[in-house]
Amino acid sequence: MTTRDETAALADMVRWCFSKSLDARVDAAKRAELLVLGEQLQGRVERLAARRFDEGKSGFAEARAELTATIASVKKRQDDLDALEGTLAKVAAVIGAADKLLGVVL
Amino acid sequence: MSSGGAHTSPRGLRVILAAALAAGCAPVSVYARPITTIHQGFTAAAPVVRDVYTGLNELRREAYFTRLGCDPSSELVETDAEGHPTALAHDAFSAESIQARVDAVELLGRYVDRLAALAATDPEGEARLSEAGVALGGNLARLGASFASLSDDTASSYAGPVGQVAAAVTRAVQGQRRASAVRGAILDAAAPVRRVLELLEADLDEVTATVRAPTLDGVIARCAAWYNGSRGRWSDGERREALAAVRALVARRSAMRAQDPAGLVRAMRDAHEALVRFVRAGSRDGRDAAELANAMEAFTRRVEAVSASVRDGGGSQAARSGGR
Repeated sequence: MTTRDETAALADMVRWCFSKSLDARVDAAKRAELLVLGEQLQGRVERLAARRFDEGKSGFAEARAELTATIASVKKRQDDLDALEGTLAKVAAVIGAADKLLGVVL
Repeated sequence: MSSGGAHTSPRGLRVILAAALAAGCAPVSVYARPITTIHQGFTAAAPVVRDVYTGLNELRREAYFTRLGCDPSSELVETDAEGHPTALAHDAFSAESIQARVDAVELLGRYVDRLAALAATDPEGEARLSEAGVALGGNLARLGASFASLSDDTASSYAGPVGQVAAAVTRAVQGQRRASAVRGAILDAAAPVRRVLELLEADLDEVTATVRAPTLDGVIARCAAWYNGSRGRWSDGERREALAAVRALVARRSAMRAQDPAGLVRAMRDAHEALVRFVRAGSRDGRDAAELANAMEAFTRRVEAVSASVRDGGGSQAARSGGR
């Protein structure tokens, strides 16, 4: 099976990262961080989009659930620029969760 | 798409369908024009699909080099620090993966060509129908095998429905009674044709959302950061040059957003569904005939529009946006 919903949510997050990296209300250091996180996340999006997963494979359900949960935790905070530092940490966690899912071999 | 001799005007198609229905019959000729229209559209679709995927590979490569140009700290490497291949030496879509998708569309074209030959009443159609189906069968069998061996995960999902369409084509070749053979072949292949089109549409929607749009956003963000970080050191001329480059990228993104490659497949699906409904209704329902004529008209327009837009790469719109 594919993970189209998660991949689409990650693609939205990539675009959010790039958009916030161009937001003058965000300080320069965080904007630079957002740009790098967006680029790193984009690599994961492309790799996830090209993969099909075996639903029954050990570790798949857990890895997918973790990715879904971390995506949701970022979405909750995306509009709150005051909480951006914490959100960036969550985006980094999303990258880790995507790597874990990509690590589940067919 | 060509508007040569085989092209049927929407009004012409309506007249043909209405005449056949008024006569209270469903001769094989009633299928000929709509099938020819579908065949023209499906034939035009294959190169568009190839252009979309090769364009995405080119876009990623261009983005990689643009990013390097904006970021002196980044090295030109084949494998990045995380061990992933870069666009310097790696295409997101391999030649085999692109060919698999093109093959799927071409197979649908061959399927419709077969229907057109069965439905034709002219000497050319007779000749095409009398051609041996052996070569076609061999090609189709090889196609199924090549899909099954693909390393591209998403492309390999085409294998099942592609094999079913191939089988339906083979059965259509063996058809004896023309009208029933056409109807049988359309209904027989309806589900797998629908599945191939669904896969293709989902593929195109996904690559548009996950590769094309974010790739351009990322390049623009990287170039803007480069401008913002360097503008104090640049002369007015250098600043204007950099701004012009970013502006061109923004114009290109606007043009690409207006493109809808999956719209081509949606048009193919709508045309195919209208044909299936027309056949299911026994070709005697005036409402289905009108719907079929409308679907063919919309199909022709959408194929032309999407083909021009994808081939153009959004260039004409980019030129308009950039020229302001």
